[in-house]
Amino acid sequence: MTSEAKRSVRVGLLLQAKPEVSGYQGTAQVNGPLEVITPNALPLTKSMYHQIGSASHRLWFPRDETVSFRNIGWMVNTCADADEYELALENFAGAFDQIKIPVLNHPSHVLASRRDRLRQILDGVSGLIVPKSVRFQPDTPEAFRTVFRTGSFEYPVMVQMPASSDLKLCVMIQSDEDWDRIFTLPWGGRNVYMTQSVKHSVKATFAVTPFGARLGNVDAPEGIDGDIALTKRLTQSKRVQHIAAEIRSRIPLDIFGIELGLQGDDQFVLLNLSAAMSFEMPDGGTPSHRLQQKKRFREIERDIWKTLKYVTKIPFKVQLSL
Amino acid sequence: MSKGIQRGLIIRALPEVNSLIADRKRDGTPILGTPNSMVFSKLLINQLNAHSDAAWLPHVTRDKLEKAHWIVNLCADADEYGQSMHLLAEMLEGLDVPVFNHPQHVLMSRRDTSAEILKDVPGLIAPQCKRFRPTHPDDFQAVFEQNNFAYPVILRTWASQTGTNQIIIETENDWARIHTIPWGGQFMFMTQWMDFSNENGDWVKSRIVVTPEKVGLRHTLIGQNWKVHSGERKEKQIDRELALTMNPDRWPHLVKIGEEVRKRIPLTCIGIDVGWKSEEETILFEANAAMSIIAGGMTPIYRRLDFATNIHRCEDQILDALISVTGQPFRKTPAKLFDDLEGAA
Repeated sequence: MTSEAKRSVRVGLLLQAKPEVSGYQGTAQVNGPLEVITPNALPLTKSMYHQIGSASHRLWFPRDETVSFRNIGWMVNTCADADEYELALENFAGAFDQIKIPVLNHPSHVLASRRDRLRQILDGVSGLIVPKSVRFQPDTPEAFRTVFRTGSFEYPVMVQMPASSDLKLCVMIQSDEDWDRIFTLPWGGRNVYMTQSVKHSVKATFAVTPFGARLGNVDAPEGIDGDIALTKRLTQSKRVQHIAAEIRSRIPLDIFGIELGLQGDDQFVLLNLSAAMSFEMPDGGTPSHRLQQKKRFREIERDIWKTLKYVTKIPFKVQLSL
Repeated sequence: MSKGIQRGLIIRALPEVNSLIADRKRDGTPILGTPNSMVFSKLLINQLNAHSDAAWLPHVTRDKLEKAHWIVNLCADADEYGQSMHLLAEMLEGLDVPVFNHPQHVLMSRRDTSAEILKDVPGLIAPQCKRFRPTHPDDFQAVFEQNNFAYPVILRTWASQTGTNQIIIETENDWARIHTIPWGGQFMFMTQWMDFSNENGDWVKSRIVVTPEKVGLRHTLIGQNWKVHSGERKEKQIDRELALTMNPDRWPHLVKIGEEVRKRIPLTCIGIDVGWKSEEETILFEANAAMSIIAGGMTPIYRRLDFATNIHRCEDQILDALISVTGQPFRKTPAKLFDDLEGAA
């Protein structure tokens, strides 16, 4: 870096918050201390967090003191889920409403990505079906049926606890007989989502950045061979790129993930959209399959590095984890 | 480093029910800890850390346990650390190493287990407590009827020590209240509620601290209803509470109860929350190692020095227990500080 370039580098602000729904989690290391996990935070690699951390101050929510920072050139918001960080995002969004500096994953855009807001915001995106979803706080078991009826839902519907990708915290109600399944969820005093289930054949995740959508995982019933064929098709799909670009134009997040279900040849169902979606290479598969996967996931990581540099204008040193 | 202290092992585990607890600095930076763990004072934990290795379950090997001259188990709740305590108890089998709060004894302190173990302690009334995993709202009433509970009953989710996720069912018309707490997929405790108001209409609640050589009292609270808590209290009330707490002549019955509990649940350090109507009638709320004993939070500003003095006494009591169980010459609370506090009080 030239001395002129160094002078132009401005310090950033890293927005962080206490997880409001899941709380902090941890993993115990074999011979080391506890490693803390902040659920639903922006899933960057250790190297990314390390380099961003070295170039920025931290702003926590909640905090007990007023803080002020000078000459802040950019912000990175790590609060990536609209349910998990609702209060924090509202606070940050209010505080930085008029701010003119670049903010990676602006809090107000994360708030817009809440499951029940997507259908309205993404209405009319060609080739994309956005299932209806309602967030509510039930006070009786009957409240579920009432929401089903008043929301004009049809069987099957998914009932899901917010801020969770844990399948144990999601039940499918296929018919009138299934409503007792809600009793396996800890919903008392909490919000839940009811989402219309829409038929689809396979599902795939994509990492979306200003540089396009990159295929992550593919879940195909045919197994690995079908997966490879499908992978090629999805990687080259102009429709997916169009959908991702259209989503970004309406919810201008910088880094986020989408999970799409394929319906027919070229129609997609939006199963999930979240800035907290992580892209980690799954286990298993043949050596050639894993090689292809590794290539894809490295490209995703490169795109994320490029986005970080693009937003912050900091010449981070790209270190790939794969 | 003090001379003569042999190397020990401190055991921790990730919580199995709750998330990590997060206190925070003024700027919001989280300070994380494990919930329902034994809390030591800074003086104690610094000494322990200086003379021990730390190990997180399940990454503890038998070899590590064998090499340790003493073990301090910080996991203090039978639900929060149920699997970990079973695993540790199994690994400790046949080993001749002193353990502060043996996992087997932690497991005995589960709400329903301890109520059963302590049900005929003279002078102590241990209300019936049942643990169950409901899969339907009807299960609550079924447990109530099958076990001959009477209204009111208290319902709470497992591994909760405070009033969080706790409700009272006072009549048969109250069962809809269960939908205000998150019970789906969780274990629940149903406990028989008991009136513990005394003849003056006061609701007196005390926390007994039991160690191998002593029974002490951490605090006494006097309330106007059964939900006695340490929130804002009037000065006159605090005077009455302290007069009770600091005068052991007024609670010989609690000492007797503590001594009997120690025989049945031989944890190195156990807190017992009780409500008392009279010297003959003391009602058990809970008995476990997860209670806040040394932490000074929620103490009123008025007469704080007296509270601090009493907490120092408890700290001293726990340190004595640590020394006697581990056989190590840990440094005791500086006598000067203790005397100063007592003198000022």
